[in-house]
Amino acid sequence: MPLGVILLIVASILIYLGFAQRILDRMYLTDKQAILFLLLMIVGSFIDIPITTAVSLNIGGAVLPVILAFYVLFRADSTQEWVRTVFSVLVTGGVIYALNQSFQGVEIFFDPFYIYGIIAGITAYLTSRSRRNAFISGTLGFLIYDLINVGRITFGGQPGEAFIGGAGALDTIVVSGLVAVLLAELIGETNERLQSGTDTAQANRDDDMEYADLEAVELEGEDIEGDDKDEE
Amino acid sequence: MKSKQCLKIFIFSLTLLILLCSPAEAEHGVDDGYFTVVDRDGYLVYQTAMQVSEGDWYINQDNEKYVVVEVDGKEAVAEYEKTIDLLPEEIEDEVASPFLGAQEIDEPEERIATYCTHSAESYVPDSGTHSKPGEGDIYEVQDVFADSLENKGIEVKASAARHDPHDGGAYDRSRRTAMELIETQPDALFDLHRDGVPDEEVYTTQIDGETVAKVRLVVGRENPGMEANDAFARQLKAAVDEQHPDLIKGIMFAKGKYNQDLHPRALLLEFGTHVVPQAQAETGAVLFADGVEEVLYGEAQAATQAEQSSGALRSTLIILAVVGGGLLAYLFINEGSWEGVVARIKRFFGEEFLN
Repeated sequence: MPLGVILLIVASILIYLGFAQRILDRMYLTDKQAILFLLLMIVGSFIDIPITTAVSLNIGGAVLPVILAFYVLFRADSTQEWVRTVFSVLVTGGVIYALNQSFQGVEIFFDPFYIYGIIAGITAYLTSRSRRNAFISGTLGFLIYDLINVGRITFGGQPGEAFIGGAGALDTIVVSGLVAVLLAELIGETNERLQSGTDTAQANRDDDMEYADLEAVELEGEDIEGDDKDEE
Repeated sequence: MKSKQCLKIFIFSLTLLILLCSPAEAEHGVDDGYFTVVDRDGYLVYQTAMQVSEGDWYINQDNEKYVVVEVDGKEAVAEYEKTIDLLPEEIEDEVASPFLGAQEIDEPEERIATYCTHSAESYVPDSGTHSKPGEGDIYEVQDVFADSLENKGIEVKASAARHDPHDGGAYDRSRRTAMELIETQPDALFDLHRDGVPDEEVYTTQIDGETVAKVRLVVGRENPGMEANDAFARQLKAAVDEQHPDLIKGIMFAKGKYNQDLHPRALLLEFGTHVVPQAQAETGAVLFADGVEEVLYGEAQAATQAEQSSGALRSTLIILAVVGGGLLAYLFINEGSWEGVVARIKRFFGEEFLN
């Protein structure tokens, strides 16, 4: 393979893994755990678990990210946080399904690959202003769309197969979760800048908070700070 | 508080825009929804059932590049930019450059992979319908294409995986098939389609006295590494133009990735349109296979690799520039000043290396 192509592949992989690692280490994982998790996802990308003749689950692209999403969900501190996250997941899944249905039989004018994460990020931000909610919504939201498709194949007579998470670490389930966190973080940062100005941003930098203090005050009792990166 | 309200309004507006405007913008069907792109004088540049967006560009059969400048409903206007050289001379001169990787030519294992994202795509003259869920005629075209390549000694992995329904999630489902195929380390990955323009004359030509369906190549503009795929598409067009002039309808550069981010030699191919007889599409596929063999395994291989490498390097630089620019913008939003950005970068590297 020509050197230029090798460089392109290596650069793309490193950038993707770099972003993924920085995002995963905000999901109750330390830096090292995040790297280990990524390695497991990469290895798991090559392993499929057959469920039926038409349905399979990929370890790296479905099982591991979904386990992480549930792990983060179960660590939620309050019932309110739970409810908001589940609501966000359901809304994300519903919107993804509705959006894709509206493109039945037609070409689309954008690549939906990133749109799912954007939907999840916006929904999560509106419901709880939480990056962790964003990850869960992106991952489980797209899983819901996948499961609807499995239902149509299994019970609805739709021809086809469902390789859930089959693209491994590059699957839409994983990318939706990562894009959602990036977007939620970007909105949070922008919001913080708009509201707080430079001084507050400077002050927040030291404890690596991505979300505005003002939001935390407003959402009294909700663990916004707990949503931030674990101390290393 | 005012800025907070503004942000909320912005977010809600964005959500509404995505949810409400997208279907209206994107709605087009097989028979009545195709796009017609003309130049400033009203002459036809191209037609397609795929979405046309401002900023798309098109290389026609004569290698003239047009850029779409206006889109109004199903009508679009494109401006002529220049006539391009598919195989720039400087690339051929640089074949011996070690950096371009062509000094040591690969020993290819001659393996090609194919799949069909839109599993239902069919040809009306044969099937009486343009869509047969789960068993589209496109799979038979794929088989003919694969047989043709295998007759040349090339190993072909043609996936029979189906990705119905033909909705917005089809490419997400076929992405999984594409990844499975990539694990077999193919030299090229083709996603086979047929177009939806209801005029067979647009998509047919005469080659050696036989009516043949033309082939259109599609390159996704939203693929960060598109330069490499673009280079491959140009190589293919140049090779097929040499062997079977008029077979390639053109190269369309459209919004979307079409899973081409997964492989530097991934391309979307349109074998005719739904109103041409399937046999004509199959003949087009057989002839197209000649060009594939030439580009990947023939005498043009050295130039192909150099062009590929050059394209990939351009992509790498673009990706690094975009990522770098994005990170800087993010840090600037976060810090509020360039001094803060510099301090944060210093702090980051200090901590990273200390750790």
